[in-house]
Amino acid sequence: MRQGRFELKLVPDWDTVKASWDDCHRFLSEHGLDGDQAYALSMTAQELLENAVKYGGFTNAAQRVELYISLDDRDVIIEVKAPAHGDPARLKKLDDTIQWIRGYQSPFEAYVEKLKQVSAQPYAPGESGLGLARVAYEGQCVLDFYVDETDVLAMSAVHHLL
Amino acid sequence: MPTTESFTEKTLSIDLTETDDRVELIWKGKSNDRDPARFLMPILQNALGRGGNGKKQIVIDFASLDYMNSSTFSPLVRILDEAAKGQHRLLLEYNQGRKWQALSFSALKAFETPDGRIALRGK
Repeated sequence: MRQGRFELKLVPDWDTVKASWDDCHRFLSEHGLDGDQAYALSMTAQELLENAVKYGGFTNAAQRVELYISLDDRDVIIEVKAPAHGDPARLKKLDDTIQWIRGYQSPFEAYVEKLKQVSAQPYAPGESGLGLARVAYEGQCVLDFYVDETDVLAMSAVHHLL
Repeated sequence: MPTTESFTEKTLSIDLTETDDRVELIWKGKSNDRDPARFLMPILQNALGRGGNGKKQIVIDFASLDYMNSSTFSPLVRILDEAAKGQHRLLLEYNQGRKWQALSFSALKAFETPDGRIALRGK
């Protein structure tokens, strides 16, 4: 029976987050995921961590971005927690993006549509939703999020193994 | 006589080789910068310029690339869009044997043009 849990608490810094790839990949491989699955889910963790670092509402140096991966025979659950941004419009946009992805019959269609949208816009760094669409498509994950009573945003990606 | 220039930013390197009829960009390593467009757009625009709006084929070879984050796709699809609007000839090559590349690049087939000017090829 497969069962495991992995967690990391990271300084919300780009290089620190990038360096977590190897630990994620090792954990997933050691728990029996094949190379392609371990890669796709490590990518998923990276995309969620990158979003947390970019758009999290970090207000002091003690705050961390937290990564949790749990798995069993049925599912792999990847969860990233970070302080929620103070602007409610950000949460609304996140919710809209997730609902928009779910509205497509297949995540592939959503991803292609998002690529087309991005290609037609003038370049400006910021939220495009491309990373979430990619997680849904390439990671084959169902996305969700909640904000807890301490204003921490928990973003989850669930990948069904069966 | 081919000329080659190399560009490196942290974990990503790109070799640009120009011949009489072709401009080739070979990507190696990982593209996982916070704002990859800052590094990539000038290189990609430069390649489009050298391509002379269709005089030379531009080949972007990702087969040796180990990873690219979603932020890397933004400048890439903008270049595809720009190339499609002109007369550029652009071929994207990827490694079909690597599942992430097969998935990522099959989505980019949406940018192929019916006349074959913009095309993707798994190898």
